[in-house]
Amino acid sequence: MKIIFPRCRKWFLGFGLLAAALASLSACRDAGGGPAAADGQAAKRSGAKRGLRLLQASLDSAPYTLASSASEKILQTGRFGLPSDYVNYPSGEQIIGAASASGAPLFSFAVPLDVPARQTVLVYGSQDDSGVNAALLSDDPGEIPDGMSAVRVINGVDGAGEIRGTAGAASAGDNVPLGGASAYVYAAGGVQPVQIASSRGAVLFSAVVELKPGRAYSLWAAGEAGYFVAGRLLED
Amino acid sequence: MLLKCYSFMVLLLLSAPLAGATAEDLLKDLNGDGSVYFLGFGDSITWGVGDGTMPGGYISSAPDGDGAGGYVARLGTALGIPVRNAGIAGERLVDQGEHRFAGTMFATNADIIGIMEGTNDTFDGTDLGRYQRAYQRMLNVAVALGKQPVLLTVPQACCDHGHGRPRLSEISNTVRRLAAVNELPYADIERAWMTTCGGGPGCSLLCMPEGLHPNSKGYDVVAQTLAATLLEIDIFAADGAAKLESALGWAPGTVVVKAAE
Repeated sequence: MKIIFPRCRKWFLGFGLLAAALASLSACRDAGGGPAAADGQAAKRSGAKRGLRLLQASLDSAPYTLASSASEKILQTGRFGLPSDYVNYPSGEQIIGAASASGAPLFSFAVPLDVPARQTVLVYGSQDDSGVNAALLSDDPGEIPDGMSAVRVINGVDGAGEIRGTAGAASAGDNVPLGGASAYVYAAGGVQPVQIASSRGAVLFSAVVELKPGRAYSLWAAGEAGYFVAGRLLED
Repeated sequence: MLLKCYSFMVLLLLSAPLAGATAEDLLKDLNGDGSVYFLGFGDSITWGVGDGTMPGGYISSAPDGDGAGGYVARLGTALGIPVRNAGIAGERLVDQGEHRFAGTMFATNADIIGIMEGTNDTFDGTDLGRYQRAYQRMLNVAVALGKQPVLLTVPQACCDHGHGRPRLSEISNTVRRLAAVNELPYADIERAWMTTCGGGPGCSLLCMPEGLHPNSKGYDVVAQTLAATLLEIDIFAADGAAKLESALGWAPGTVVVKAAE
């Protein structure tokens, strides 16, 4: 695992574990001791099957704005570690772009006609170390079996290497690289423990959540290993 | 299509610097624990070094203080809210303050986090880009944990530390820029120094002749400027001082921060 500040390796390791434990406690407390609700649960899933969102996982970066060449409006502003609801965006061929509120860098993606219904622009990395980059992810869980939920892992943690996630007894993704997302897997709906860990076993996020049958979720981790990691369960 | 793409790029670039800071209802109990709690994070100027020294006095070195004074304690008294002083004398933001910040955030129930750090970075020659990225990292941690950061520009120096003035202004400009792009409120301490220092050599708000740490009046200025920011009062407006005095139930003339001309 790459450590950003090598002289404080032990302290950071301890702190990382503490942070993960606190994050878990916080998730439980927020739900009144019961299962935590998914962030973005209020997002409109509606008839509007098309949707785009921006997830900002770069800890040393300013907010990013999301725009389309087919629209004159800013579609969304994404802030580090915070969930974003899906926004509708124009149909047809277009360029989707994400720009830092501080002026640079700027990322763009050419979007063809036959795009997935829902997509995520993930901004990740560190200006000081790995460099900041962006990826366009497809949020298509396919047909979800009755009584099941679809879960996957999105890796926005700089310095953690590949990460993995679990939802209940199911593996939600293994060896997910920085800037990538695992394929959706199906997990039993209901109240379940979820966890994100580095490939070396350091727990980055854990919580007890309610997975609603028929819904799709992303276990998203953002930040920098050894300094600060924000974990979220997002409803896709 | 070419024109469309060009317009798109212009839109993205224009959207880059977000509109100015907003300060909507800042005295909020964000974590629902029943109180609005302020934590001041920074260096010796947060800790309160130099407090107890009066304007016009000459001292060989600024008194260290015990962390019970400075702007943090004054703010708590003025607003009637619990506060915690998390200043460490001599600390730079880069590689030092940024390292302890996340731990400090996890260990506090504070709703509002005041950040004033960068004076030691100035005199240690820290790269400004590195300073901005470290500061951004801290802001992101605080916001991700549901806290309200309030940025403070840094006081100007004079006299024995007068050579640091240009760099201190660059630090303050960086703080203003961070506040703008993150849409966060800031208290413009540097501006308060400009309006209130007084004419002639030196500055009536600083320990003399070192010219770096605020004296008691200087800490009053920091606390009043920050209190005004938290109460959404423009302290630099012609009626700013009167509004702050009215909001805090203070006698007229109590506020020492001068309006901008």
